[in-house]
Amino acid sequence: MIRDQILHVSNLCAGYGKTVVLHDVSISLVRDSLTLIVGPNGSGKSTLAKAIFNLANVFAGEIIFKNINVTKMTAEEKTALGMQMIPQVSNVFENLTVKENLEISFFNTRKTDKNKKSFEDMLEYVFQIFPNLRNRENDKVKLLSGGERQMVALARALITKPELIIFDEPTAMLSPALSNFILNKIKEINHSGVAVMLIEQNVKAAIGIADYLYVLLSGKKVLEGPSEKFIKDFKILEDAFFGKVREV
Amino acid sequence: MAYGLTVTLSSIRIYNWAYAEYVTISAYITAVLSTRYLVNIWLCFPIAITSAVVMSILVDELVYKPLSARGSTIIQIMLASIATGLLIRYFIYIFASINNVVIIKAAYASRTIFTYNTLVITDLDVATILVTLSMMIIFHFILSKTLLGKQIRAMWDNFELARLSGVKVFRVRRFVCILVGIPAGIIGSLWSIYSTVTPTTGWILLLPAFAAVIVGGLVSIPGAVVGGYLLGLGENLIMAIAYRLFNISLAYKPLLMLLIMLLALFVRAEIIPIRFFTSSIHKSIFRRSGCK
Amino acid sequence: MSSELITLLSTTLTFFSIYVILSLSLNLEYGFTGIPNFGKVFFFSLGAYVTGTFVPRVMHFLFQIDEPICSATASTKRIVLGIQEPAALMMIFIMSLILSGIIGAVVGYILSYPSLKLRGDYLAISLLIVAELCRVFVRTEPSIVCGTNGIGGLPNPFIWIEDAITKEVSYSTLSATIAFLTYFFIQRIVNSPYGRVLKSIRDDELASQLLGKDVKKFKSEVLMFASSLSAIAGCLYAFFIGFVYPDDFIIVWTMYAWLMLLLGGVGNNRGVVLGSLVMVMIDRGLRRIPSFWLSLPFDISYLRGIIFMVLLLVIIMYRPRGIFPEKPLETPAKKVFETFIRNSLKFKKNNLINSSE
Repeated sequence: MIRDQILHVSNLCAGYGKTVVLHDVSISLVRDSLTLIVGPNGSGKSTLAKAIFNLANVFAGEIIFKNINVTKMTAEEKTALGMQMIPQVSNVFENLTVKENLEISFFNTRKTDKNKKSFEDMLEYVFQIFPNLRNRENDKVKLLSGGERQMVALARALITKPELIIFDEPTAMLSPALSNFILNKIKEINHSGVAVMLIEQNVKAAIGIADYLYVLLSGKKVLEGPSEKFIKDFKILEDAFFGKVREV
Repeated sequence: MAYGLTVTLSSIRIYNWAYAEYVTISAYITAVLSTRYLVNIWLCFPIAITSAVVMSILVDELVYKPLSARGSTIIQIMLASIATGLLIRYFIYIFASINNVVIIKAAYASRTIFTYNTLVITDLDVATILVTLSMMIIFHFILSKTLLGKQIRAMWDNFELARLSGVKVFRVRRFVCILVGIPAGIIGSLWSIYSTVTPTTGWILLLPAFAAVIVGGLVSIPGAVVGGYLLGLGENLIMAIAYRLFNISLAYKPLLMLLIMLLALFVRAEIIPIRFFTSSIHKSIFRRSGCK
Repeated sequence: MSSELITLLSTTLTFFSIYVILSLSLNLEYGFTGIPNFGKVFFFSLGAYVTGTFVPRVMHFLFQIDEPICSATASTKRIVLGIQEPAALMMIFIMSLILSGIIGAVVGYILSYPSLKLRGDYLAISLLIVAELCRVFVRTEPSIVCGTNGIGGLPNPFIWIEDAITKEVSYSTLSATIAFLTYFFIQRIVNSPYGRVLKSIRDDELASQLLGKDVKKFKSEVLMFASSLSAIAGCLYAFFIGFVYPDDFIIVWTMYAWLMLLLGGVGNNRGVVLGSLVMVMIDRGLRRIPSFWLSLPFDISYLRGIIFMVLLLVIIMYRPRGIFPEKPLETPAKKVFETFIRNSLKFKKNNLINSSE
């Protein structure tokens, strides 16, 4: 195993109930890198994210995070290790206020010192990244706009000081301007030393910020490689989406 | 009563019909202990409450947890909860008929502390009102201020995300069971002092509570409380008026409750646009602290 | 055969028929249309209440009985009159069957109106509460079926037959006929285009709505039909046991109907009939046991209830779609499709062999 890998998924088979969605998928994330996972609808991207957090059924394979085998751990235990995931839909607690959203996440993860003071500090840190949230602190998330919700979702993950964040289509249902904003924030987060696994459908927008790229197609990994290669030869990707896989 | 109900309802996303039996059990325990074994009534209370809590945890472990782990639909869970309730009730029946305590009342004579014309207030009335009020306040405090309460609310809101936020959902669920068992125990014990206990006591008490929950909207706790009071008030007031004016028998009480409930169902089904009205009431009464 | 055995068998058959009608109507609602009816006992009791109100009043009107309806002398008089006037009794019986059916249908239709706008779980709760509150109302209101005491003296329609065995057998044959007709009709409905619409509603309401089907109309029609059937079952039950007693109709009946449904299999009529048979066997069997060897310090019905509820819980946990769940229909089109698939697989295999050669 390579030394600076933070997450290594090997030969993962996962699905829902008895249905197998992912077949034998292996990916690995380098520390501090931004890995992009793309694929058409129904290719198993979200299932991959859920399976990593044991929210989908894992039938076979191993998930190793920071040299710890976490395959059998529950999602709660995984968050305590410093993994975070932002689901695609319903990624905020709608009936709670912004602050409560962050509180729940903060006080339940990472067994570092938890006191009011450190929470205030982290709150300040998060509000620096998302200044819009500062004056909506005590509003219920229900009342927030789509973009602000996405910010709350990001903030909820960030406030735990994770080492790895998995984003499941953070730009879905956002306007192009807002998606660019969110993608830039993700890049910023990545630069601050957090490994990011970004699941996206909008390949063109996201490929610019990614370091490495995997392509999933109907539950199987069909392509992988550093993103520069794909920027140069975008045709390979297009073909992959339509089922023609060429050797890279 | 309606209180404990909504808490379970929304936290485990279960329509917990077995709740009625927790009440019956604690009522029986208070009554039997105080009459047969001459245990002090104040000692009976904690025993009854503990047993209700134990029952609540037991049922959750044995029935609801396996079911939700299987991914059962809400209809199946409901069916299971009614079946569990009936199962417990049959056991109570067996216990009661063996020990010959099918109808029993706790040994406690209430003292009258205030009389005005026909209005008689006993210490029991005062105690009931105090207990109910303090229970409401404590629950409200737990839910809105403590971390545990926030975790519970987060769990109601979005179970999967709560797990992703590191909420130890099964531990929180256990806490919910305890929290829910306590009012059941209190209500059961109070009832056994108030009136006679039969194996169907809990069920009879539960029906108006469920109606209240429907009237008040299934998830909101203030809603259930308001619903409960509306129902109780409306029922008693309208019946009293109807009795005075038209000499309608008081036996029509359940019919009236039925009508109120059906009306509430119409509202919930959004045939009558009353949503706006209720939401503004909620805001002005219960959410004042949250508003700037 | 001894007369005792025949009596036992015919009682079992009668109960079996009543259970079959009840569970089949629930299957039509839940198994085929997806309406979770937790108020089954309400519609069932409706038939009994209609019988309990209608029969004595008509008899008192026809034969000029002066005593109050609820009194014991009146109920013996009714029985005696039933023996004396078979033709009138049969007329009354048939009329009350029809009347129960109609009232069941009407009430089912009215209740379907608000409740079908609700989500499944709300619907279940509200129907359950409606059923329970109505029972409480009927038992407190003396003018319907004499309140808590219930009403007695409903003469069995074959009471005029002198031979006890023939009497029993004819009533059970009659109920079995009605049950068979129910089975036949529901089977026909389910396998018709109408039934396919119902199944489409069950599987995806929105999709069938988008195909231009009036989902609400279909659902309320189903609820109407099923309620009418359950009311008829209630009427048969009332005539069989000879009295109507409001505290009989507690939620346990609803649970029994669900148990029969799950014992058989959701959406499988034949299975449901089998489930009812199993249920009636256990039920009757347990009633016979204590007289032989089991003496309990409590009522055997509690034990029966415990057995049934445990059975129900186990089924929900391990076979939530029932023991014999619905299978895809063996239509000609399906057979053609299957042969096609099989052939094409064979073809592919041959091709592969060819190409490898």
